[in-house]
Amino acid sequence: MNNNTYSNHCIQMFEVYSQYLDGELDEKQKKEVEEHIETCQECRACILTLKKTRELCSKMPRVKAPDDFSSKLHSQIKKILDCK
Amino acid sequence: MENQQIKPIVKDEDTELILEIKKGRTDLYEDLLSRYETRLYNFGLRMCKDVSDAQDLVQETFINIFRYLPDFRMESKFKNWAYKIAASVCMKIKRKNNDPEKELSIDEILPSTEHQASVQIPSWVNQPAEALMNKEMYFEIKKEIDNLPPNYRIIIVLRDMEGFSTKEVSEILELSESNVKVRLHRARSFVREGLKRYFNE
Repeated sequence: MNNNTYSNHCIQMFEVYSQYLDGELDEKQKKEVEEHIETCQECRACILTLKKTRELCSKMPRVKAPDDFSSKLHSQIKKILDCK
Repeated sequence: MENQQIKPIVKDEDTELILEIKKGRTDLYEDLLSRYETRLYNFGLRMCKDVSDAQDLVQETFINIFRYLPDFRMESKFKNWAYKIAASVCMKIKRKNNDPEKELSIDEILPSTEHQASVQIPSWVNQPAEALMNKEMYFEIKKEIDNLPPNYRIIIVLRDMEGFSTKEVSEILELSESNVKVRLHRARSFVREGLKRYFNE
């Protein structure tokens, strides 16, 4: 990483960006982040790409289990329950 | 199942079904399997990265669910309890597969600034996720998540992919909420760096 353009303040702020996006910061911290990204283009880009990453992860589609697995699972659980 | 008079403390969409099964309606097991098999299979696949291990995880999780259901006091959502069991099965598979936990260093997750382009707001952040999500993007995200150490992967999978809250993830994994927040941020930042490279290429 080349962090010539990052100040210690940027790095300190960076640690709470996910909490900012998740609405988990208190008002004071939230204001601090907002003031920082108004003037720091790097951190603004970072937050926006992080937000899109979170959104993309949440849209990852589920895949279906193979059909033969499902029927095997159902009969196996039935067998266990029948034995009880 | 033994007949118990349980007053659920937490009610959710599974409460009625679970109460019926606990009262002895074991014939309803199919409904419970149908509700959770795809979800747990995907959790297993995301965590174990292998179809056969994912199938083992689902099977073992359901066996444990039905074994311990009489003891489930309904003090949490059934879903959270089921994932707690799945997470513990996942740990066993992870140990078997020698998929070691490791820490992500700050250098692996801080935004890289080698390219002037990184300072610009990239155009992909303005596109709807639905428009960005194609087969190639799916595999790109999957690759980045697969590359995460399992102790970070499980957090982003539960939080961002399975939709649990920070508090719920901390309860499922028995970690502090602050630990979950730190790990989640590192995991997201790791995936973000991968996506940034993908879009810059």
